[in-house]
Amino acid sequence: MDPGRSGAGGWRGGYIVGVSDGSPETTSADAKVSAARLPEEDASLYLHPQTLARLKTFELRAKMIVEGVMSGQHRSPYHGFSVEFAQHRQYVPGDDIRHLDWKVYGRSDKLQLKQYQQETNLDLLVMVDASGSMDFGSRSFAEASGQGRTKSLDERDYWSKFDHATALAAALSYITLRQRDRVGLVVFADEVKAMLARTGSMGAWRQVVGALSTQPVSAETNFGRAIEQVLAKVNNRCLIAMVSDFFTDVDQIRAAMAQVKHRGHDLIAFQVLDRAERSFDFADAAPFEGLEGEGRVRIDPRSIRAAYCRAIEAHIDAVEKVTRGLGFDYHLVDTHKWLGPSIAAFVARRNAQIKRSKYG
Amino acid sequence: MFLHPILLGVGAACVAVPILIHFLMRRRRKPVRWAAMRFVMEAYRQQRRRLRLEQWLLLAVRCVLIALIAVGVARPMFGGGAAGGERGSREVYLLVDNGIASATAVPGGDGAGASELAVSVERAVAQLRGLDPARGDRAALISLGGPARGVVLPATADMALVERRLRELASVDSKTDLAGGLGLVPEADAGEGAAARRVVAVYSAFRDGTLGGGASVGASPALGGADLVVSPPAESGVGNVGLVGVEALRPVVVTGAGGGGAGAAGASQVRVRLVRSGEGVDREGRTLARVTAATETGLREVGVVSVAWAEGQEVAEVLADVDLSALGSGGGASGRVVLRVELEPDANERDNAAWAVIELRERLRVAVVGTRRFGARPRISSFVASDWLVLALEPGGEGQREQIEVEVLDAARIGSGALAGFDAVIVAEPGRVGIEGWTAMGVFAARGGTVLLTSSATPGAQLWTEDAARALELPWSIAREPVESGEGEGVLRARPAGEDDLLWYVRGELEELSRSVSVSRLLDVRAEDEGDVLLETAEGRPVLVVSRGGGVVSGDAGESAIGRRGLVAMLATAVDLAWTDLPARPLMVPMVQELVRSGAGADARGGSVVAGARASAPVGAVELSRLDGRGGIVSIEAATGRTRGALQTAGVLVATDIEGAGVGAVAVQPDAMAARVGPTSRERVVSALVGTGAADDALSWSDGERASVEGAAARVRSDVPGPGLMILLGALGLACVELWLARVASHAAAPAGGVAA
Repeated sequence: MDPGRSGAGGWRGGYIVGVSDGSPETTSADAKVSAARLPEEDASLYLHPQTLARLKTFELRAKMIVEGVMSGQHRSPYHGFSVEFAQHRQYVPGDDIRHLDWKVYGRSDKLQLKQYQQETNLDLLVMVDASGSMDFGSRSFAEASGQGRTKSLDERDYWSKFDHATALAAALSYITLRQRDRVGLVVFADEVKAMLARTGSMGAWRQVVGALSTQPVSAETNFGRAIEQVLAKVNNRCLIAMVSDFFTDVDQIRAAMAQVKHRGHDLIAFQVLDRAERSFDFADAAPFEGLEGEGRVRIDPRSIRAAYCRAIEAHIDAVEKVTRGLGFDYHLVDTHKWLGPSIAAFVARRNAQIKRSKYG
Repeated sequence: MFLHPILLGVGAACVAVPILIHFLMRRRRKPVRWAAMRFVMEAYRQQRRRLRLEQWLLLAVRCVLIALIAVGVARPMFGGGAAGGERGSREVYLLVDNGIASATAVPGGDGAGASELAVSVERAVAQLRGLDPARGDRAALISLGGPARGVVLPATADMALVERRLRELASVDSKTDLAGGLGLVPEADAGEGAAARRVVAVYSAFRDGTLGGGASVGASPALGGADLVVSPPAESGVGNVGLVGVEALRPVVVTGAGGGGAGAAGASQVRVRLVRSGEGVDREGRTLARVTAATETGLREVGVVSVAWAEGQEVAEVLADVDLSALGSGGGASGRVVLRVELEPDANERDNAAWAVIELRERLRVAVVGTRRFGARPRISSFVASDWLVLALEPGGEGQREQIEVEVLDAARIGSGALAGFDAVIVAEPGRVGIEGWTAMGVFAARGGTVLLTSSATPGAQLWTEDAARALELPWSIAREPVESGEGEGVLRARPAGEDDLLWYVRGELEELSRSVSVSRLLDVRAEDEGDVLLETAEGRPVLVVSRGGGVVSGDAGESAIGRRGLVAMLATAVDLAWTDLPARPLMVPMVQELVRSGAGADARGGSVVAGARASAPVGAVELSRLDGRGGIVSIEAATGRTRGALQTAGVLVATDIEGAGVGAVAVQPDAMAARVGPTSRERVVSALVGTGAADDALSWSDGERASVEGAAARVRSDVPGPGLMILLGALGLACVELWLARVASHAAAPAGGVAA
């Protein structure tokens, strides 16, 4: 249960992918680590083959029309000449006569040009919360990684929520890359800490893992600022996968998501929680210390357990309500459960919903 | 003020323990780093006030609980119990039981063989040595052997003296006088000792006989506030048989003149009463008692008694035949024989011997007051009352007057001095006795003589009755007019035998002998005590009424005892065939003879006393001395004829008059009932001690090995709840509250509000 890690915001290595204003410096010791073994090489610690195999057949689809630079399976707002018919329009000189609808001309003696729905590619932007609260975990690293490793790269013996978020980001990236769409990564806390440019390269998921596994986990969460910074850099419509524990004010979450909605992006909220955070089954009195500078208080956990559980469940419900209220999807992720089945079930359910909807 | 201030101090220090634990628990734990701290803080803010209240309340309850236990164990003393105890000075009253039960040998264990008195003395010495005269401690010693007396009183700082007197204590033959011992304490509590804390320590084995009937010893108000430390009663029982008493059926044995009557004179009987107690009572058993006689010539065994005990039987009474002829005192012997009955050795030796004194007389002299005849005895048809009585006293004729010598005195000529030398007077013709005669008979009876009254055979009113009743101080009223019995109503019958049966020797045949007698006319005698009536008619009119003797008679000025009242009997009918056929019936001879013989020792019945009481000395005695020559002289009060002090040691005391001549003896019997060795319970001891005035909570037991005034750690509480006990009970209740509060505060039973794993 006890993370056993000294200090919040510990440095998780020196491999920096994206650069933001608050990027930590690389130390010589960390450089030695990165020189000896690149984090991408340990990507299987987070997304092992069983999970990959499970997710291979799934496709992640956008709920709304997205704009992409390549043709693909996703609907595009750009109507052109493609496979799927969309509408007719009056022929004007200069148009390609190959798209004239001769059947209409034969019936009505009018030159009508056929227009088709253009399918484009999906840009998945994975936003991973790297605030201090994500550095909590009650599951052992050895049991969660399943690779025989007892400790993480930074010598932790517990599987933190951030580790699970890393695995989730890798899984989403993998699915997206498998369907030949592009994936980008944003790591944020009180602001954007790092970004990985969108790419369709199949090995990009390993870069995602590498970027996250070396990311320091610290600071408080500020969704509003992070979303603002991200949206400023994204021009086309994207599917944003927000991976966080959402341990911040619901109003702040609502405001951030409303911005996303306003800019026409799609969003999936993955709330990553450790099982211990919900059960709070401590027996002995002890001082409790927050990971985001909330201070320390000595309590008898049993005396406040009921009130605590009520509070956290209410917060979870509120986050889900806000998310779904804006038309986004919400998925609660338990760090103690295997990721593959959970993601597979979620993706399948989402795709089914999309098919039934007006966009399907 | 507290009995154990040190314990109070330790307890007060212990109050800090929960406080220390409270703060140590805060510092000890390693912090838990927690992500969802905002929800923890939110929950904590909601519950903070309640949690703090619970914690402080729990801490306060724990502190108060420990403080209460400390106060309870420290034994608070309210009132005057601790008055003046600033310097811790103590005044200890050692009450050591040296009653007869204390002579019981300690069964088993290291102290086997030693008496329980020795154990008590060692315990008392141990306590005594715990005192410090330099701090103002003082001690007093009171022996509880009845009557209790202050051996060292008032309390002294000379502990060596008290210890010496303690070791000199010896068991006596009387019962434990606990009430008297406690009553002596206030007498000693005077002067400067009143400022010290008083401790009354009672050392006794508290066996069955120690407390007697088990009644409370009564209030001793001066014990108020004193600590009463009591040694626990002996646990293991031992078996013991004791002699409750030995009594000669005839205190005076007539040996007869010459050797002819040696057989009859040499046989006597003694009544032996025994009690057994302790182990073995629930089984059958047999006890052997040997009877030895001590005379001027030495000791000789004169009989053996074997007592068979049934299961559960505790008291037995047997008759022992005593062969006095073995003493060589058959015919013509006179003097005094001391009979000693002795049991086989057992747990308590002091109740194994008892004594009886028998007086040997050559003959009894009886005066028949009637008509004096000269010459030969007339024919029976001409017999008058005196003739019948003489015949009854001398059934063998005048030539065989061996044991009873009869002399007929003329009724009209009885005066002072006329009855000197006689043992008994039988008034055959009371109507002819003058006032001087009755006065002389009154003096005669007051000096121990036996008087047998009969009715006058003359017709008409019996005018003598009032004079006789006045002179003889009769406890009954005698009617003047005789009453006639109806047809068949005059048949004589014997009343059931009482405790002291004067006709015991003929009791077996008395019923049959009585049935043949018919009384047709008699005076109506009303006796207040029905036990005085020995014979009555079928219609219930008393025929033979007796007033047993033994009481001390004082002189006119009341300054000295002039005698001991003898037996006075009244035959309500006249010895005349017109009144009754008794003279001609077989009952006449044994009845008259038994009255004379029993009456001869009536005045000597007070000659036996149980140890612990004052004895009545024979008339004329001025002092008593032990037959065995040991011990001092016991002086006698002239006014009461009783010893000045109680006699604590069993044995025979010889009475001597002012000229040094022997005038009788007093047998002091051991108080065997007080020597019963059955175990008692603490509750019984407590019930006997409750009400003595000692502070209830100060009534405590002292363990033998650790007995000390302050070392009452091994105390066992009595069933009387004191303030200390009440406080401890309160602490127990508070402990229950603490358990409940701790459970509530721990929220161990709080419902799970979270998500199951």
